[in-house]
Amino acid sequence: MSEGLTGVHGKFDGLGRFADPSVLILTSLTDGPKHGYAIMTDVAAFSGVSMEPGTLYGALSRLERRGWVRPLATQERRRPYEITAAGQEVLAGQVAAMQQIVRVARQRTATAFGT
Amino acid sequence: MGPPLAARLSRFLVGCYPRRWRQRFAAELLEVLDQHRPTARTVLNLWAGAVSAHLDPAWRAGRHPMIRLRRWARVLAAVAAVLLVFAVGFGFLAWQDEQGNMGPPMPLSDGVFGMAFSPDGRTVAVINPSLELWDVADRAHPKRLGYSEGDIVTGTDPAFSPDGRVLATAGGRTVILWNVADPTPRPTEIAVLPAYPGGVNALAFSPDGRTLASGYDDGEVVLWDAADPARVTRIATLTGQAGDITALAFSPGGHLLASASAGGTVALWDIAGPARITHLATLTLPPPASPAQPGPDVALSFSPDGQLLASANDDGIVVLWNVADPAQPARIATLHPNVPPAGPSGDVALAFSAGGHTLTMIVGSSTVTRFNVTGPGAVTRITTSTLSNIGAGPVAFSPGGRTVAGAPAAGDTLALSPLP
Repeated sequence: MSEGLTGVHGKFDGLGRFADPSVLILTSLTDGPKHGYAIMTDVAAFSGVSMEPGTLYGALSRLERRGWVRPLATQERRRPYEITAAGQEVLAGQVAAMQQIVRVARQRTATAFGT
Repeated sequence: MGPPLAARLSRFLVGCYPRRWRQRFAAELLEVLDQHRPTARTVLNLWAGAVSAHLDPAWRAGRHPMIRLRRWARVLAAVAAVLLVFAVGFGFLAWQDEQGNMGPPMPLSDGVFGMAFSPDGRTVAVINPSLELWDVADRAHPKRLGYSEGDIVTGTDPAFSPDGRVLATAGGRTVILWNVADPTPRPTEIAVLPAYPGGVNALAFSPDGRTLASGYDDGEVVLWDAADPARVTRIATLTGQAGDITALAFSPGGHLLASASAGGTVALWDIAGPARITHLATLTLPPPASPAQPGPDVALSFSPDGQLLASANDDGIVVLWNVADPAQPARIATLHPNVPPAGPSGDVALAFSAGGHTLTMIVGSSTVTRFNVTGPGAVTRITTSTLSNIGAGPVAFSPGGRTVAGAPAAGDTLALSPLP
């Protein structure tokens, strides 16, 4: 998607809390169920964050336990995950909080630097 | 870490997750690892993931085998574990030391960082990366006199005091003064001067030994009162040059200081009285032939009568200025001897002969060029020759430029090349 962001490989630097793996995974699953590797490539494409498998499965196991994602039946050794209604609610809440931060940050940088 | 090793370690680490976690996720994770190209980062990440899964109560087996400890016992266990890790680490380092894998000296042919000849021409100081002192009175048989316990590491050439008893080395952002009067078995530290924001890049003692100049990579030059090396105080900070200070030279009379910067300028300072240090003039150096090279190296040398200042850059371009009136220096010659450039690990050095009639330059540790200086404006090249016994890296001229010292191409004996 955003090609410009793919340079941010490897680190969460520069994205701060916006690079929280849970938010990235939930966002990735919002447009349909995906298996592990597909989540990794999708997240790398839209955010530039290259998530390692250990991080991915750490986050997936926590999301599953909280009932925010649900495992589907395994297809050829790959297990897809889908976002649950509770997960959508949590993601919406996170996005609203981020939007609030973005809105204030925009206003204040405009006041401070006149951009 | 090679990919096959990373892949093997990754698979091994999946097996280190808690059993209940593995029952649920291991197959998928292994499948992802097959598609992913595991790197060292993947391995570390899996290691951290396995540890964190073990700490997560949700994945503990019904009956956890760990003994339930009271809080104080857990604190004690943690402290003991930390001490054990330290003890094992120190034991490993001590063992490495015993194996001869630590501590100086390194074979000189592995490459050295900096070099300087003593004013009497009998001693050479080498940064290797500890400070080594070599007796070179017998040019055919140089002898290692001693070396410091710690490492110096930085690539700045050290500077001898005029009496040869004190040596200044760069220690990152500080300057270290060493007693090198009797360096066997070790030169001893006299003082560490206060740190400055920039890293020390050039050092020089004034001819009377009372003033030490240190140049920094942020363009500043600091003058120190070093009359008593044990109680050095700052006299002044000279600012205004852009880029690393790459070379410093005092005039033979000690009234002038020349400071070259990577920004392509040489500043001349009147330092006759500490109370009135003034900037006299700024000379412009020729641009480097290979501008891509970072941090061009420059050498500076005053003629013995103090009338001429010579500069050489690592492309081997020499410029001579008449500084008889230092407030109005005049460029009298620019010489392009067309020698191979020094290259990234090469050095450039410059020396006037004792009588001032010959100027000798070495570029890239091996190409020596001699110029005849019969008078201001009358400079001719005499010879260019190539030294074979000196390896890459820093070099130093003996006073007058009759001998070059450098790291040997092979072996652990300082290489010395007498020049005809």
